[in-house]
Parts: sequence; C-alpha cells; structure tokens
Amino acid sequence: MSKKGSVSRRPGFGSRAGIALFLLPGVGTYAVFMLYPTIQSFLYSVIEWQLLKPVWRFEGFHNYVQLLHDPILLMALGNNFRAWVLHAFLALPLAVLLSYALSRRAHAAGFFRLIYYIPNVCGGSILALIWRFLYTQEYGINAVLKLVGLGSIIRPWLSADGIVQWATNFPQTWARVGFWTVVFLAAMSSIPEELYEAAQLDGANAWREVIHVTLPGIRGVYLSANIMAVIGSLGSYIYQYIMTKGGPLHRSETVMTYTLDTLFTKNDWGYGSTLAVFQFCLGAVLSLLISRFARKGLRSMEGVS
Amino acid sequence: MTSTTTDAGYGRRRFAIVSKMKKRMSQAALYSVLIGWGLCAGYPFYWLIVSSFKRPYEVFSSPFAFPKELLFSNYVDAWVLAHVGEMAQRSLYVTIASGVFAIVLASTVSYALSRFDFRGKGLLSGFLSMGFMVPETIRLLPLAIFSRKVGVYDNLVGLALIYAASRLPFNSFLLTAFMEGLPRELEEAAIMDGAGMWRVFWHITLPLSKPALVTVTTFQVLYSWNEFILALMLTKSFENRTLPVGMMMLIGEFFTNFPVLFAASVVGIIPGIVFFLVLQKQVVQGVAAGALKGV
Repeated sequence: MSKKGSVSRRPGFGSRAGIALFLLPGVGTYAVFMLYPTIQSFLYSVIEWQLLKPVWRFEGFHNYVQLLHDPILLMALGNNFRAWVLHAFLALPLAVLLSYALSRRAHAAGFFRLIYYIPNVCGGSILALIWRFLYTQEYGINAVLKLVGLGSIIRPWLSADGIVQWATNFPQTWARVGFWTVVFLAAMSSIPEELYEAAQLDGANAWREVIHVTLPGIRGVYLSANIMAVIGSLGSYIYQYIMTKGGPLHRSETVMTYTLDTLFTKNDWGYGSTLAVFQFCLGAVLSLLISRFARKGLRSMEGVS
Repeated sequence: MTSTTTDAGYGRRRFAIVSKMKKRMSQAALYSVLIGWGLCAGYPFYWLIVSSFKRPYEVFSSPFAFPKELLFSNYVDAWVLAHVGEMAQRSLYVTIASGVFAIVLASTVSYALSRFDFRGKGLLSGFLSMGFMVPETIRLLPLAIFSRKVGVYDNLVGLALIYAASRLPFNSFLLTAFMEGLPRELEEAAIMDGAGMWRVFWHITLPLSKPALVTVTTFQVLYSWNEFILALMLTKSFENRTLPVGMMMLIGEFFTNFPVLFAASVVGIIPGIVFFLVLQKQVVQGVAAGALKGV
C-alpha cells in the first residue's frame, strides 16, 4: 500500500477509465462464463420447470427439502467422505514420507519426483480409462496381485458393493500422492539448513530431526493441504464417471456424478441445479470452518514451540 | 587413526561402525519406500505403453513382458481409423488458443490489481477467489443453455475462451502476486517521462513478468489439453470433439481391439508429460506457490 502513492504520482496516470479498460476483458469474461452461470444455477434450483423450459416463477424450496430425504445423496456423500479419508490419511502422510526421503539428498531425486508427479499432468479422463481396464481385466491389477502371491484378495473391483466405493476412489489418491510430494518437497527445501545443523550440534538423531525440524517446518503447508483435500474430495468425480457411472445401483456415486446424472440423464434440471448449489455451499462452509479452525490450531502450536 | 590400542579408541571405532550401519539401513529403508511408490506410480504407465504395442491376445497372455514385436500399426490405426490425429489437432488448437486468451485476460487484470487502488477492489478479489471453489457442475447446465444463445456452443474458440475464464482465479492470483513483488523503479521512471498505462504495462511490466507468465501458461495448457467435462457438454458435432472427449466415444468401437485404445491413450498423455519434462521447474514452482499461498 505504501507504493500506491508513487505509482499514481503523475496526474492522469491510473485514471478510472484506464483501470476499467484493463479490468474489462478479464473481469467481463469471468463474469459471463463463471459468475453468471453460477448465479443462474441458484435461480434454477428455485424456479418452476416445464418440459425443460424455465418458467421464471418462484416455486419455493421444495428441491432443498428433497435434499434432506435423498438416500442416493447420502450414499454419494459417503463416497466423497471415503475420498477424503484416502486423501487425508493415505495420500498426505505418504507424500510427507516420500518428500522427506527425497529431501535427504537421495540419488535420482529428480527422477522419482518426475515419476510420482506424472499422473498430475495426464488427463483424468484418460487415466480413468486406463484404471478401468486395470481393474476389470485379468491382465491388470489382478495379474500383479497373482504375481506377488496375493491372488486370494482378488475381487470384482468395480462391481462388488463395499469394494467399488473404495476402488473408484483409489486412483485419485494414487495421482494426488505425487502432487503433494512436490508441494511438501518445496516446503522442506525452504527450511533453513541452520536449523538442521543446530539440531545436529544438540546431538539429535535423524528421527529427532524429523520431529523437531522437518515436521514443524511444513506445518502450515500441511494444514492448507488438508483444506484442499476437503475441497478436492468433495469435487471428485472423473474416475467414478468414467469407470462406473456411479454404479452399480448408485453405490459408487459421488455428489458430482449424481449431479451430472440428475442433470443430463434424468433431465431433472431443477433438482440437478439444487445438488450443484448444495455442493458449492457445502464446500464453501467446510473450507471456511476448517481454515478458521486450522489457523487457530496453527497459532496455538506456534505459541507452544 | 589407528588408536585401537586404547579401550576408548576401540569403543569409538565400534560406535562409528554401528552408526554407519544404522545410516546404511535407514538409507536402504528410504530407498525402498521411494522405489516402492515409484513402482506403484509408474506401473500403470509401463503397462499402458507396453500393451499399446501388443496384439490383444498378447496383452492377456503376458501382461508384464515386452511385446514380441512392436506393433506400430496400433498407433497408425489409432491415428487414422480412430481419428485420434484429428482430435489431437483440435485439442492442440483449443489449447493454444486458451493459452493466448489466458495470458491476455490474466495479465491485464493482474496489472490493474497489483498497481492501483480502486473502489470494489476487495470485492473483485473476493469474486475471483470464489472461483477456486465453484464446482464444474454448477456451471454446466446454465453454460450449455446460454452458450447456444451467444454462439459459443459447439465452437472451439468459445471453448478456449471458457477455459481461460475458468482458470482466471488461479492465473490472476499467481500473476498479481508476482507483479506486486517486481521492483518499481523502471515503471516510475517511465511514468515520469510521460508514458501512459498501456505503454508501461506493455514495455515494462509484462516483459518483467515473463517467468510468472510461463508458469501460468504451463498450467493453462495442461488444463486445456486434458479438460473433459466442459468439452463433453459444450460440443456436439464430431468436428469439434477434443481428444479427451473423443477418446471416450472410442471405447465401444475398439473394445475388442483395445491395444488401439491404449495407443490412443498414450497419444493423449504424451504431450502433457513432454511439456512437464521441459517446463518441470515452472510446474513445480507453480504447484508450490499455489499450495503455499492458496486457499
């Protein structure tokens, strides 16, 4: 803010019209293709529909009442919850472990980082297609399991209730590990080397270094990773959409695949919009709550250490 | 060095050996973790690439082995018969166009946000960061209806513009932060010499922002090349199917001759990987910046 005066020192520079001209293309496009459709969906959820034609008359909140009694939505939320469980309790800890191993000057760290990150530069739809083959055919996952002597745990991954819910969520977790490894690696490399040297002078072993230097150093990033894990899990859909379409019998549905199904298969545009609005609001509320909670936690932790 | 005659020296040496062994063991543990996950992460890709050169029965009979002969014909079939070539060209077109749009939209907005105070700035930033939380499903139906009215339905340029708008929150977030950190001396000197906003932006701020522009474009390109659901819902004709959407339409057609499908998948993922290999530094920086400051 202190720089503000210096830039607009010359009269006429930074006029309102000039600023508006700079903002117009970006803000205009954003308003038209992001804000406007979002607001439309809010309206779509409370107006009357007749044969896929909007009748612009307020119809009340009965779509929202329906949300409360929707068993499929509940199942879908269950799968988003599973996505979060895998993300928060498998992907993030594994990424911390891998990034720690890489940060301790492992040979070929660049190579490993590359391999881990590759799923994140590939299209989710194509990865989902690959995983669909890996899951359903004898030559995929099942062949690997047989090879390592775990043939007994072979299951119908994409059709059995109780298994499909986890199987459809796993590839997303698999892809995310590399993403978070890169993030944590960056955070770890920004920890000053002096902290490690000081710990070594105090006679700390590798384990104590991890506990007292590495983990505290990535605490803030780890918390924002957890917030992003919540939002990301709420928005997961591509693997379910490509591999099972939410089936069998909605067992692997997520909120987003259920929304897509309601909107474009059942053509129930009012309720479909309601589901989308619900997801948006839930995500906003959750991330607000968590970030407030996390910041508080972070502050108190910093007070302690 | 050879202080083995005293007990203390003996103890020290034994301690050195033990700690060396411990170090070796912890090194081994670290490497086994790294390699273990490397196998998990890499296996699907190894399997995909190897299978894409095989005959269908060979995929079944020896899933891990290299192909007996490299069937490049799978790739020719994918490229020509399955129209993957056309689709890839189209995807490339959309990707490049969206990259150009993204640079124009994000750099102008970021210049205004990073250099001036104006009424509604906070509100604007708030609206932009809201975009991080908007799920694609909330936009799909209104976009599908509304895009028909304004002529961007089933239109690749329109799709590219929508892609640029979708990424604007991230792009402007990254660019604004970068521009705020730039030194101002050159700009101020130019302003004193009577240069207008446009000239300062075009001749000074934009060239200085090149590193951030590369990062932003990299992410935009990866996003646009891989984007699926918007392309699926906002295009209709075969002439406007991008690669990720077109691939899904091939599943039924090539379900028995799946190595062709695998070859098509390889074509779909190779550009992203090559792009990443070339611009690894920018990607890593962008990922870190987005995750460290985002949310």
